[in-house]
Amino acid sequence: MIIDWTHFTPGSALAGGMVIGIATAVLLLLAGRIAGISGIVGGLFKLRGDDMGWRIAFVSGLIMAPLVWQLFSELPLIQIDTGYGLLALAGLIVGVGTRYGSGCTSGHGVC
Amino acid sequence: MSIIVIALISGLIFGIGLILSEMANPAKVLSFLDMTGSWDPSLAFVMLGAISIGVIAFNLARRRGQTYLGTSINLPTSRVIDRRLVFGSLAFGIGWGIAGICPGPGLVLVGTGSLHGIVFVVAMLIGMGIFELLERYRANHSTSNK
Repeated sequence: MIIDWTHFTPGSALAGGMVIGIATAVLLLLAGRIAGISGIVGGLFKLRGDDMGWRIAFVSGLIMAPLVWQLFSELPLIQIDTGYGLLALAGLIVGVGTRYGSGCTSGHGVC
Repeated sequence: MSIIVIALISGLIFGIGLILSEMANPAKVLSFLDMTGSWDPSLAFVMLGAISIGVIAFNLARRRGQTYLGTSINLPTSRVIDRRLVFGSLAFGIGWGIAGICPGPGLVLVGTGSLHGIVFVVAMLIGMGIFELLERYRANHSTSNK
């Protein structure tokens, strides 16, 4: 194993992580909900009318984040080298897997 | 403040954190997950940062028993590690390893207008839909047997 020092960015990673933690704290301490992304998205499929609004709002916030970011600054480099076929396969596995495993990175890691 | 507004703000902050930490850059995620080549350990610091704040929030939540707005808190109660958790997580890890995209960053990528991100998220939603259908089938099947 060789450490890749040229791309090592502990500062922005730690800061970004803390921002994610703050988002989790806001949702937990004000709304009483867990910021586990797969759980929030997956719960939409239960089609329970009284439980849909906040889920849609949270997902909308996530999707809007890069748009809001661009109001102030340029987006950092985003590089995807995986082809569409593999991406679709990966998405499918992630979708089924996170629901069976009841969580993805956010829920199992932070919460 | 309604739960809808809080959820929108929380999602927005969450997404900003994903962009700032570069979790929303699949190439960066893959160079973190691939420890055999030249390993970029940065993303371990994302988890460190998030957990440091998360621990405080969860302790506060547990001690208070309700939110600052006086509403109830839904904490996960399951401590069981069963086959579903193990195999589900295993599948998730494989999918994450292929694309370098997990659910949160996938949604952020959709917001950047990335077609790659859209393909991933649509497939992910189909996967979650399949799970829901299987669960419903299983529930119906087990009740009709009794």
